Amino acid sequence: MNGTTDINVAITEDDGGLDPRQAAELLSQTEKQTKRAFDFAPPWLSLFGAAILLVAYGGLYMAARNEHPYKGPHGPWLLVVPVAIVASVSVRLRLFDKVSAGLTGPTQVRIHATSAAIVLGFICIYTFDAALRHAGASYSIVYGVFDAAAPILILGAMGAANAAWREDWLTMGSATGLMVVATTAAFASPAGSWAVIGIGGCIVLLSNAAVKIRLQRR
Amino acid sequence: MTIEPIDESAAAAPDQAPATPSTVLTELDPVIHVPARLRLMATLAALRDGDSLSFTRLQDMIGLTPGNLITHLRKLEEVGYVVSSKTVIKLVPQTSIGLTNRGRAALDSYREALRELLGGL
Repeated sequence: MNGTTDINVAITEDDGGLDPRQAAELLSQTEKQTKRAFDFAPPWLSLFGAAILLVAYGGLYMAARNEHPYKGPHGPWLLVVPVAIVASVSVRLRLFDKVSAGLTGPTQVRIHATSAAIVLGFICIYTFDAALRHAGASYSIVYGVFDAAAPILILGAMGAANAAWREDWLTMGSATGLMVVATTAAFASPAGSWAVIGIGGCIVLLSNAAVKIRLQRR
Repeated sequence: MTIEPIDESAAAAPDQAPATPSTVLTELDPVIHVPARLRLMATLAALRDGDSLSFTRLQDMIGLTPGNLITHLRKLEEVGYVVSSKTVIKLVPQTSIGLTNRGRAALDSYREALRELLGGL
């Protein structure tokens, strides 16, 4: 051939006419499809998480914004929180069932252990609330700054550590971003901290989704 | 579902491949270089070490008939690229297939060989 190398691929059976270029395309295509099939955190989940965070924290901000003195979120706006939690948990469970169908081995064990650690973390947060009140901390601290930031700090730290272990730098960056947002929110007013986390967290998760979508299209 | 051992010999070793003096012979693992088996290997390689996938899910993902899938899996199992195991999940027996270290290394070598071949085109 002119300026090229002739290639004779050693195939002895069942080659089905697959040349190296086709094989490379098939391999690449299969790897992309498989990556999506086993993706426990697809881009749409980040979009959904952004919406949930905005709605839940927005609702809590609306429930607390006009309080003087601050007593913590209350009133009809609080109803959006259980709705957001139920929606979030059910969507994640369905995704988990779908992605992990037929999968056995250490990954399943790790996912169950991580879920248990998250639940335990939340139990600790709200037990800590009682301890803070018992120690004389104000409503502004307990039902404002702490309750707004602590869940995000815990989820962010766990997410960042888990992502670092998997060398998933995008998720690690996003989880770290959420921790920064939660820490920054502590400097806002008790009611304002809900709004800062709702909006800031939403932006972080939207960015995460945008980068994931862009990477998938490559 | 069980992947029974079969009598037919494993795929030919790379050194049995035909060669012509006027060509550069770059060998691709003949066991992997078949569309269905290439897809099977790439799919199983996406799992983490120690994880395995049920026959049913694998069939759904690859889109082969059970008979075809068993045939290809047997060939991969004979050369030690995949391993199958039987488990019982929620009282339902299930055959799971996972990639062995040897299989992962073979796919890496295959990928490298492809890269070399295409780099020379």
